[in-house]
Amino acid sequence: MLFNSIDFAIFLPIVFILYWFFCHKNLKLQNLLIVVASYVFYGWWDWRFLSLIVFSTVVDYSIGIALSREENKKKRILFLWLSIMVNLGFLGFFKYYNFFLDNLITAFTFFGIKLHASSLKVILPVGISFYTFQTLSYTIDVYRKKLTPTKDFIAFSAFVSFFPQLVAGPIERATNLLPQFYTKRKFEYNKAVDGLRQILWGMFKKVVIADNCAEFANEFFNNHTEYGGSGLLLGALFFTFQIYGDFSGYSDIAIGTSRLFGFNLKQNFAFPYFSRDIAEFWRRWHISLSTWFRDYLYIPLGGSRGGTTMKVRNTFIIFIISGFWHGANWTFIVWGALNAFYFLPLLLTNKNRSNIGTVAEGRLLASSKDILNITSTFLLTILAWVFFRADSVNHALEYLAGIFSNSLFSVPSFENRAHAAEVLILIGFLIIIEWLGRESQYGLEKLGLNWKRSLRIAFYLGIVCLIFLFVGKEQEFIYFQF
Amino acid sequence: MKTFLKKITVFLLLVVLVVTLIVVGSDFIIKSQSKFTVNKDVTKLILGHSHSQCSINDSILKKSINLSASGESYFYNYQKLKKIIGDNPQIQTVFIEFTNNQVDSVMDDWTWGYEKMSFYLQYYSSFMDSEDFNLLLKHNSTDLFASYSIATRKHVYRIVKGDYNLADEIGNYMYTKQSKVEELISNNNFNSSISESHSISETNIQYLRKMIKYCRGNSIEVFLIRSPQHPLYADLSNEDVYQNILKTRFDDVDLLDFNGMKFPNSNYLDLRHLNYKGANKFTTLFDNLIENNLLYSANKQFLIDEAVRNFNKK
Repeated sequence: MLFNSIDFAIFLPIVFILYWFFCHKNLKLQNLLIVVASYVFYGWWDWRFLSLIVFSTVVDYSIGIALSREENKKKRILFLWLSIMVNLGFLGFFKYYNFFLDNLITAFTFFGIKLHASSLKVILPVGISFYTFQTLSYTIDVYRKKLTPTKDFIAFSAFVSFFPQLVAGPIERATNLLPQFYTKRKFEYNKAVDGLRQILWGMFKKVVIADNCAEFANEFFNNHTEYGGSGLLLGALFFTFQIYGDFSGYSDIAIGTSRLFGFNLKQNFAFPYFSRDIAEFWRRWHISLSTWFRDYLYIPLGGSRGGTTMKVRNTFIIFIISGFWHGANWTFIVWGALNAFYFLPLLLTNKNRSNIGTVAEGRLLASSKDILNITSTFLLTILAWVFFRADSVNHALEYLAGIFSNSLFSVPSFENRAHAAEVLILIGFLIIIEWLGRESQYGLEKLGLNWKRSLRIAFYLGIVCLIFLFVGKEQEFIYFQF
Repeated sequence: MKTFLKKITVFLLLVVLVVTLIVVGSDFIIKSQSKFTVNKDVTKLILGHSHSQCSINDSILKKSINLSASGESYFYNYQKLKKIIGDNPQIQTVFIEFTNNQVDSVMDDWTWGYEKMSFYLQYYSSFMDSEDFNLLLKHNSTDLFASYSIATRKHVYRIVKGDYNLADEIGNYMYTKQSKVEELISNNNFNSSISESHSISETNIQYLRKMIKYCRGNSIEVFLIRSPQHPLYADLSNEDVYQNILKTRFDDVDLLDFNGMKFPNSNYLDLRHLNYKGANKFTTLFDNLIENNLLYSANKQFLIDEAVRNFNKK
């Protein structure tokens, strides 16, 4: 079920009413309703893959219990590896099987050996990369004794399948989300209103920004040979805002929906395009994934401790694996590696933590130095996104070569320029709102709270009207494929 | 909770009210202000999709206007016809392009597919009747909503700009110098746009019938016309189906069939369309035939075939 669909517009109020009017007195019932609603939400796409979620839930719940009872170190490691193998086994099979097979065949062919193996028509279950990492965080934290394993199967099932963030995150840590299922949620007016505001802003980012940018990004990327440098750069810019609007919009809707049900999820995007360097960008983009890799991979590998070689190695490992997490394609690996190269100078000069706070904190405008840094970081990000969006590495290289051609400084020529101008104006509106709200959890959080009520309502109505007027073809969220 | 529900209900009602006001208001203004008037000298109207758009040069065909539009099915042709006839009582004759792909089921997507719906509703949504809306709703309700909102946006822009003359935007003769035929042949590019099974589009056929009925109801002469197409055009593969529909469903209407007309490759835009060279030659021949009373002759196709034969000999 898509957030931007009629189905969800019917589903959400039904679950909300059942949750607060019929289940509000009983914690078990609240959790059970969340499990049922989550399974319906997921099953709406393909009910067959519910079995994977159920299996993953049972395995990790059982391993959690077993780990709590077992003190023998070797056996504990064995349990941990069992969980890792099961979760990553599913992920590996459904997401990476054909990739590895194809590359193996190519590698053997290179050495003159013909390998006979056929690809499988594997459907990638929606959200598998997200819930797999979420359940893994539970087992690892239980193994590390940072978390007491739950004995409440319903609460654990609700944690694994919680519908607002099941298919595209944020990837919640068990230490943050699971305990919230242990206490009965009480309706809080301010929290619910804040949730609705965040949903509204998420919808704007998805429907108005991402879906409209997609129209142009697809045109430029699918027909890149027909356009000059300036057009291709514009296409990459549109994709830059498409991916941001799409994914951060989803996160906003997920977090806002969770707040309607009394849950607090962690911020997943902290205005990444206002970052002053790449290190800051990665602290602000898909935070739940970055911190997951930091805590469960980078730090166990040694992190930034040790010599320069070790630091560089760990940086590359984390960026490349993070890229590969996104999809079974060399483009994602190159995208990850490119970001590692961007990051390297900061790491080697110990400047990777020089921009920790919010840019121009407490001020309306940024300094010229900040503007320069934001612009250069943004341009580097645009170029990296070309690999993320391209169908193959060759496609990306051709696209980049097209950008840096003689026509880079010409006026771009393409169909539907009037609509492109509208979309650029809307992007401008997004940037202004996000800039004004950059010290909050999301752009709209505090904006207008001190305005007159009528003005505030008119502002929200204006956003609803923009959503209505700029709604396009119902498009899936990009991160569903990951 | 009560306060929350109360406030959210009020807000949602406000949303519904504002959106309804925008939709109904813009629709009302467009409906009352839009004009589909063409030059008063024009007595012949040409409708169809890209084939007739590229083939009939209305500056050569006397007293005519070509309002064909690329990718437009009969569903939208019908809406256009109603408005043009309504605003231009001087129209006496209507030529409707009727060619092979227009009987094929691919036309269904041209009617309720997102791409077409989201483009054409901006011109016709204000004038469509409930039966037309129900058809779109039945086949593609999700995209109808999105397309309708796009149409509303375009209406708002139109109102802001005060530009209500729609006749300038809904179709024209397309002048093109390009010729891609040699390239297509050398690349062995003979892709077909129709369905493999040659299944038919009942909706498109039904709307063609509605167009004919509408013309006759307004005492307007109506003719079907098939523009010249390259002999290697892949969509000609459903010729049997096409002829069968013609015989069984449209035997009461004259078809002016110019499919046998042959041109050098340089006179075609591609395998399905003529370019300006072909269009000039074809329109001149057509105009001469009309001047020689083709439309009132009992043997129309005989006269056409004869003229085409002579043309092909040159």
